[in-house]
Order: sequence, then C-alpha cells, then structure tokens
Amino acid sequence: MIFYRQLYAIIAKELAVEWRTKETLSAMLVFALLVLVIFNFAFDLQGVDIRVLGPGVLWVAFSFSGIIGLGRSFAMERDKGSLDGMLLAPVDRGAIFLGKAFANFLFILVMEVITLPLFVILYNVPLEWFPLVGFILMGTLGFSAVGTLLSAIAASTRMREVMLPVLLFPVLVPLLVASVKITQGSLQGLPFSDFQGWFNLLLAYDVIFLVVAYLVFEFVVEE
Amino acid sequence: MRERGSDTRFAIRDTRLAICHLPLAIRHPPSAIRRSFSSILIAAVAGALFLRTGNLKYDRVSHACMELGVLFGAISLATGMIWARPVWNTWWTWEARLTSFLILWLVYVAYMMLRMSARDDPGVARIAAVFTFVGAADVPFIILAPRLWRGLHPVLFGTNAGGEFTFNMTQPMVAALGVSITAVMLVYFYLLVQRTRLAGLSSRVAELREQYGD
Amino acid sequence: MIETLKLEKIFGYKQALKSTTLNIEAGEVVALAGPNGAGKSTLLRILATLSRPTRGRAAVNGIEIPQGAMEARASIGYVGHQTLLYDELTIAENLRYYARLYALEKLVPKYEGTDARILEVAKQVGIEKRMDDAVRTLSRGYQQRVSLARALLHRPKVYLYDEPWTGLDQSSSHVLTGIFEQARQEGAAVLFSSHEFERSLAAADRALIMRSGRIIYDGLRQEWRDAAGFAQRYTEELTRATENTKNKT
Repeated sequence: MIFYRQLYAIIAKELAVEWRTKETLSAMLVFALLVLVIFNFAFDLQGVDIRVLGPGVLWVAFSFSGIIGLGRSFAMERDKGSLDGMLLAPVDRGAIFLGKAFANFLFILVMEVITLPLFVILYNVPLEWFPLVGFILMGTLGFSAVGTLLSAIAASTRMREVMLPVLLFPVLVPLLVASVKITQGSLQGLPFSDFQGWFNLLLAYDVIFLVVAYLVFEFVVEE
Repeated sequence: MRERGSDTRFAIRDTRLAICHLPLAIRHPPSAIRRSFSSILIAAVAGALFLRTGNLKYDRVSHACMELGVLFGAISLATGMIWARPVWNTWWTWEARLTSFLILWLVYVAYMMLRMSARDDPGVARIAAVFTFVGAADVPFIILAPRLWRGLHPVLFGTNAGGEFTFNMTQPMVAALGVSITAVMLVYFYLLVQRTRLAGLSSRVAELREQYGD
Repeated sequence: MIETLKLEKIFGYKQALKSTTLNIEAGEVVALAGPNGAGKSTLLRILATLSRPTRGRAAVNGIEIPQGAMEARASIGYVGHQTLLYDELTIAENLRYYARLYALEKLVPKYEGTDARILEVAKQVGIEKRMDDAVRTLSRGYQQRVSLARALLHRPKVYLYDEPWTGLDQSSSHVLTGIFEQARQEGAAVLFSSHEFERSLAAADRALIMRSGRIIYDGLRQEWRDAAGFAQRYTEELTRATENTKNKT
C-alpha cells in the first residue's frame, strides 16, 4: 500500500515539474518534427511506397526525440541533488524506478501522440489507427524501461549527454527493428501472423527489460 | 532474394582450403563469435559476483571480459571482411550472423566508453556491472532480431532452415576446426587471466602511490 | 542513538574515513568540526544511508546499517549541501511530496492530518507565509529553511546536518538553534558538521574534531573552548602546509 502511495507521489511530482516548465516535452516535440522534415529531404520520400519506408522514419523520430526526454530525467535530479532526497526516504528503489519509468513513458507517449498525426499528414500515409497505436504503446514501454535505467547510468558519468545514446542505441536495436517491422506490417495491412514473430520478440523484450531494470536499478543509484 | 542455405554451403566449401589459416578460423562462427557472445555472459556473472561481494577482483575480471570482447570482436569483423571479399565478393553483407555480431560489438564498445567516461570514479564499477547485465539480457534479442529480419527461422549455425544438419565437412576440416576452436579458447582464457592480473597490479600501484606519494 | 565501530570508507584508492568509532546518546547535540576534506561529509552520508561503508559497523537509532537501511531511514533527518528541493514546485508541493515519500499519514495521528503537520513544521522554521511560492523564487537562506522543514517532517530521531549554516543569514540562524533545542528536549540525537568552529561549537554540547579521515578530538561541553582554539590552530597550520606543498609543485 505504502509502495503505491510513494509510487504515486513520484509520478505526480514528475508530472507537476514538467507541467510547470514544459521544457522537456517541447524540446522533444520540436526535435521529432525536425526529424520528419529532414528525412523528407534526405530521402526524397515522394513517390516511394511510404508504407515501407515511413515506419523507419517514424521510429527514428520517436527514439531520437525520446532520448532527449530520457536524458533529462536523471540529469536534472543529479544536478539538484534531489535524487538524494528520494534515496533518503524509506522508499523501495523499485518504486523510484517504476515512477521514473512511468513518467518517461507518459512523456514519450505524449510526444508520439502528437508526432504520429503529423507524420500521417506530412507523408500522406493511409492509416488504420487502432492496432498500430497498441503496437506503438508496446514499443514505447520497452524503450522507456531500458531508457530510464540507462539514463540513470549515464547521469552518473561525466559525459552524460553523450553517454546516453552511446549506451542506449546498441541495446535498443532489437526493439527498434521489431517496432519498425510491426509498424510496416500494420501499415501495409498484412495479417497479424505475418509479423507475429516480431510481436513475440517485442513482448519478450518488454517483459525481460522491465524485470531486469527493476531489479538492478538500486545498484545504479546507491553509492 | 538469395537462398541463404546454399549461400552458407557455398561459403563453407570455399573455406575448406583456408580453414587451417588462423585468422579465418577465428572468423569462423563457432569459435570467435561464440566466444564473443559468451564473453559478455562471463562478464555479467563476474559483475554479479562483484555486486554481491564488493570484491574489486570480480570487477577486474568483468572489465577484462568486455575488453576481450572488443578485441576478439574487432579481429573477427576484420578477418570476416577480408574473408568475405573473395568469397561473397563484397566487404560487408548484412547477413544475419554478421549483423548480430556487429550489434554485439557495439555493446562492447559502449561498455568501454562507459568505463572511460569515469576514469577514476570508483562508483563506475557498480554501474558498469549493471550495464553488463543489460547487455547480457540483450544477447538473445541481438541473435534473434537479425535472423527474423533476414526472413530466417532462428537456427543455429550448421543447421538449415528445416533444422537439418547441413554441415558436411570432411574429416580434416573437422579436425582443423576443432584445433582452431580450442586454440582460440585457450588464447582467450590466457588473455583473460593476464589482463585481470595486470589490472590488479596497476590498481595496486595506484594504491601505493596514493599512500606514499609519487 | 548513533554508534559506529571502526567505520571505514575507501573511494577508489583514497581512504576518506579511517577507523572511526563513536557513540552519541539520545538528547546530545554534537558538532563535527574540521577542515574541508577531513571526512565530515563522508561520515554523515554513511550515517544517512546515502553511502555504504567499506568496512566496520554503524547503527542509527539502534538499527544496523546498511543492512537495515530501509527501516533506519524513517528515523533519520538529513540536511545536505544541496537543498534536495524541486525549484519549479512550490514550498507546499515540495513538502507534500516528501510527506508522501515518508508515508507521513502513518506517522501522524488521523485527527491531525498531514497538512496540519506540514503547516506546523513550516511555522517552526518560519516559512508559512510563502507556502505557495516556487522554491526557485526564494533566497538561498529561505531555501535552506525549507530544506530544514523537509528534514523535520517525519519527526526524525536522529538529525544529521551537513553544514546547516550554509546560506543562512544571521536572522535565520536562530531557527537552527531552535531545532537543536527541541531535539534535546525530545531526546533525539543531533550530529552536525561545520567548518566554522566558533559558531558551531557554541550550539553544541560536545565536539568532535576530524582531520584527514580520523576523529582526533572528542570533548565535552566544558572543554569546547579549548577544543575550538585547538582546531583553529590546527586548521591554520594545515592551510599553511597545503600552501607550502602547492608552492613546491
């Protein structure tokens, strides 16, 4: 019971801070939009089948801009020393991880919810919303779980801004490939069985990394 | 699209003459690649022991494993490319195993970057251990994803899509391969021991220097 | 209330704390003095469960740490160099957040309520008039008061204050003496560090003086003036010695 109240306190605090400043979210949104625009010029996406190339563009936008949010998540706490505030309290370290990860999940989700329609409009993508949103949710879940853990790791090094992408992307490759493939399948209207392998892989990735990150988080934040 | 099974057989046939050649043998998947995959697993086990006991010896083992991962990975990638040039007529192909291998190598490199970014900070041992867990947990996905991506069923080397054994090597080939696998393994463990010992000594030197001044 | 036995902390190759043994009883207010880098913060952070000792044992409020850290945390009030506050949130939001983290609703009687407790603490440190101002708009001294309030909320049994005078102006330093007085009466133990000997020792019953990772003086109230003089002389000597080595290299 106390665990959930503390979890709630951490999430509420994250949201309140972001609501006051809106710094992270606006940076993420602008960045995602920029990626969409730049890709259009880099690859001249007129005329190609956008349902094949589009998902790659979409997930590059999601992951690059997501990293901006993730990077600030722990860098901010370290700078202000407020991470110590959490560690001092009788709070399960797992609750700190879950609170942080959930808040990051929500921020990335908000960014995606705004970016996805922009993607549809800018690239003229015919889209079936319902299943795709579910798949994106799944990809985002694993992304925030690993991202939150590695953000905590990167924040305790000296080159934190550089370290997060360097650490995160190699680990993230399977998730990104799976998400792109599932999004492709979904956009092309393929039957689910065609990309079920990817779906299973993504599901396993989410579960394994949520559990691993939850369990090892305390070793990252405690001295 | 090329038929992958025949591709492998073709490759193997052409390697037959060259298989005794050490660098090529190192490139050969069962030895070097598997060593690289297991290197991160050993590193993770050592990392877990470090977190449990707080004994820096385990951290040095873990660090050495990751370092050897970078080294063996680089050698395998380089010799692989040299080997692929005449055999596949290209320096690089996004073949499933090579792709997995490259991603894993990037994980090793990321680890080295992490260690470098906190040279003298003693806390780095802890977070580095955690990173080896993340990397080890990622290994199955790194193996599976490129195979799915290439439209293959996740099969181990030596079996084709149907799961049959297609590894029709001649007797001398098996022997040569066996020798090279054993040799690579011995070299690996020899380097591991020496690297760990060296790290132990250099930390002892730093400790003494701290105590008595330069 | 605070006990340590041969406590040691090694950062890499540097021994920040060398075999420290001490015992602080309930109702005692103890000053921890010594030059910068003497190991004061290291000791306080270990006792506050923020850092794990390399060797030796420690217990806070009768609970062995770090084994029982989770339990011990509920009875520790720590104030550090940083305020541990969120700049963008108001004082009230910050305190309410910490009240939730410490599960204050379990500690405070139902009829009282957590908001009443927050207000009580705010009055104690004199911040109740600006509860709805963002922390970022406050002066450093005022922020330090909020930080003190944060560390009082859960009625700690052990007060660990690292340089609590930082940023506090003359008019607000009575807040701190008030807190120490109350702690004495409630039978809590206080250990606070300071590099300003005169000011800190005046507020304490007992003085510990640290030097390069060791406690070199443990004296009672009656002798604290001598101790202060000693420490002052010692610091001056040390400063001179450091400067000499610097000039050499």
